[in-house]
Amino acid sequence: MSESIFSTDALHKRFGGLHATNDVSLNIARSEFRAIIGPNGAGKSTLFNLVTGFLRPDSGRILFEGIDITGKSPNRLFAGGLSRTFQITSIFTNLSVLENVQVALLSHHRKLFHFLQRADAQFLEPAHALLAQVGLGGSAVRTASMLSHGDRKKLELAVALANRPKLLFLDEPTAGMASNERIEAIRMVRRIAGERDLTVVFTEHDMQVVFEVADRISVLHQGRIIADGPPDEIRGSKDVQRVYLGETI
Amino acid sequence: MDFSISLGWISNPTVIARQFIAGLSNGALLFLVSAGLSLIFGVSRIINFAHGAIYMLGAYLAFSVVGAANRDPATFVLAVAVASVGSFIFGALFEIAFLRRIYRSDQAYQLLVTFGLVLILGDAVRLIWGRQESMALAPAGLEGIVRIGTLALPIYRLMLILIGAVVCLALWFLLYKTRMGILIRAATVDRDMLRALGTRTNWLFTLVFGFGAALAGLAGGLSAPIISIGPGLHSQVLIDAFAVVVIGGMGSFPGALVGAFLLGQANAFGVLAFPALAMVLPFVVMTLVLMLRPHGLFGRPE
Amino acid sequence: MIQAGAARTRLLLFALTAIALLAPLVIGPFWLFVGIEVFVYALYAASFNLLFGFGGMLPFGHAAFFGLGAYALAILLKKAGWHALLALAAAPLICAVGAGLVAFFCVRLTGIYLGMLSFSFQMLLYTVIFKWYDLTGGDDGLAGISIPGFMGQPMALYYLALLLVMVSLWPLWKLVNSPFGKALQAVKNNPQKSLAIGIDTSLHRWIAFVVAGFFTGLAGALFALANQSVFPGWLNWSASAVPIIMAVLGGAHSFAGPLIGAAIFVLLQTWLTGHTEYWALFLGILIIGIVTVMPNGILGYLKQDRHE
Repeated sequence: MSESIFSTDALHKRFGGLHATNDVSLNIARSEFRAIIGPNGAGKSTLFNLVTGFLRPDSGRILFEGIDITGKSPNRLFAGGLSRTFQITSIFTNLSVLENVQVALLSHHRKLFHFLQRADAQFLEPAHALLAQVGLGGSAVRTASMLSHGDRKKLELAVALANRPKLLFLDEPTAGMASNERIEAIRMVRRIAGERDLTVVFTEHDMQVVFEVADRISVLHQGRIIADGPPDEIRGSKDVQRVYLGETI
Repeated sequence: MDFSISLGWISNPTVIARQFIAGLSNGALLFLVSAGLSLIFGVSRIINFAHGAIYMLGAYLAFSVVGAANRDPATFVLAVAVASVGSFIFGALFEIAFLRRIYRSDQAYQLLVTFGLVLILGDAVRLIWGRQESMALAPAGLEGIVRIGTLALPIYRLMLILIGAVVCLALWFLLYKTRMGILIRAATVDRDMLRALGTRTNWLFTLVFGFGAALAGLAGGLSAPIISIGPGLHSQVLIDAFAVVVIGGMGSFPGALVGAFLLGQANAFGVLAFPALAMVLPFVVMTLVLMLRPHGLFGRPE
Repeated sequence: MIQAGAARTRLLLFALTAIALLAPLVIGPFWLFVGIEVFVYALYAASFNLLFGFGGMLPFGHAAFFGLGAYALAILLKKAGWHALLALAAAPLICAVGAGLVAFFCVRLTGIYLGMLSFSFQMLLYTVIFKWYDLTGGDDGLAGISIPGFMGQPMALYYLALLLVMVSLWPLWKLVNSPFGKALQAVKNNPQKSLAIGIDTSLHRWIAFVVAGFFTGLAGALFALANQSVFPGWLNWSASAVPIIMAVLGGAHSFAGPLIGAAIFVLLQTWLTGHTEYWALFLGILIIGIVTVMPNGILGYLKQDRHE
């Protein structure tokens, strides 16, 4: 069994009366491809925001490669090799496709406080390489706002790979895609992850996609982890079926 | 600069009472202006930099009806009505003509359009009414003072407090007891709800802007007998109103009330206690509020 | 195509520089002063636009730094007896420190709160200047701000202003195109994403504020020298609309836009005040017109035209 690269310990987060994250303890192994599933409102996005530094947990700990990262801001996590994408595709619409990747590379290489160099000339090769890897090689000079939905997702992925992450959090990476596109997309991610020895944690609604690529699945319901195991185990779990069939406790 | 603090007045109840009343009457006018500003912001998210200029317009409109020597109460009522209604119409027309197209735009455009109006109104009043400063007179029956013991209180100022209270109650009723008010309050809190309204948002925005302008114009009209009406009138009012809504909370009705009360009193007593620093005090508080609790006393953190 | 554009730009810059350098030989002191005004306001607009067009922040009280630069120079000159050029060097530094202080609180806020905090800081400064008669001359302002000797002559002042502004615009231009500048634009467009890719958004904004404050302060100090006096009205609340007008007029999405906006604004205001006492009315109409018809400013409108 692979070592743990990322774990949470009894995470809690409340919003007023809503217990959005309830005693969540996760353990992600290195090189794992982990899916986090659950019905709408289960708390997947809240959990993602907690583990990537966008929200502060009320209690509990988050460990990344053995280091306590609880409460650390997202920009510091990026420097440490953690990347994420967003449920609503998040890119820089005022920059070109290439510049989107370039700025992430500049950040990764700690060149953001260079005041006199030309930004456009920096990291051209690595930027083009990243774009090629996700299939956006021909779109480098286009303004990012002009991209189609699918291309935006690809760009977001390319940007997320800029810091050679060890751990990648993908929030609904196939959202908004037609079902045939989804399998392709997740297979591409799986391939890239394999090439880079990347650990991936993703949320997903489409079970076909999940069972296609996931090594292990965690099921979230009303803020709690109600099941955690390999796909076959989850497929056969009565608890999971009940939750998805809408039976409330 | 004289940093002296004089506290001798604390032991003098007459002075305290007099300043308190002065603070209340200034606060009443400030409340009218600030409530209008907050209302406009709450619904349309526009900071109306021309709000002080509309107050000024109201003062001029009232003056143009009542003139410099008229004490007839009926004419005065007409003057104030003209100030309010005229400001309403002016505000509504301006909103339709220029603000509608920039709601979705960068805030800078909203600032520039309303600032452009300040420039236009500033010169327009000079063109129409001349550059000299004017004063109107308090209507008969309201001029003069009433004596309570050693206290001599200007009747007009007492009336301002009364009007302020009445308008406050009317606004409260409007906002909390009518369908329109619920709509306005909901719009202030939940921007998405506005989309559900569809095309009727347009008329709500126009109505609210007009109404906010009317409040400023009303304050201006009521101020005519007690201030010196000149083209520079808009500036101080705007600054004071900004301080009130920041401290009270932008878009908040109770915030405008409490903020106006506090600022009115602070000005009234500040002038007594530390004259040199009194002018700075509102900005110090404003700065502290924005640093420590940006949404103010009653505002909502966004 | 890009080469042709770059060559054309270079030619234009060369021509403008030549005109600027040779102009004093043919124009009189009044127009020399207008020329200085154009340079000063160009720097003012460009430094403001670092915050606004590139940083996505809209402070309502930016004129505070223009006024602070002017008063810092005036006070050092008249009350502390410093040499004018030394005061000219010190004024922007003082403004940078002030900007650092103000920005520390401002960058934590966004939108109207940032705008209002900047406004309240400006009003604080304005009120202090207005009341502190002994130091600042209060409502009367300070007069007699000039460089003794040859350097104080209009032509010398003109070339000094031209030199300093060009020397200032160059690092601003480099900054905007640098990695820092790109990151700043990213922060403007999508602060959440910027954090996610490792950008310290608050720090970037803070640095932009300090740089803008520095150069705006320099502009103010230069203007004080050109005007030979300072007045509290320079940092009144309405004065803060001026940099916004200039940036939007020329086009806030480019570096050159605000420069063009500044030139047009100064020339227009000079022409208007010379022909009518109701210049504010026309300015107001123009502002509303630009926002309504040409929201991307003149440069933005021209660029749009070319693409269609």
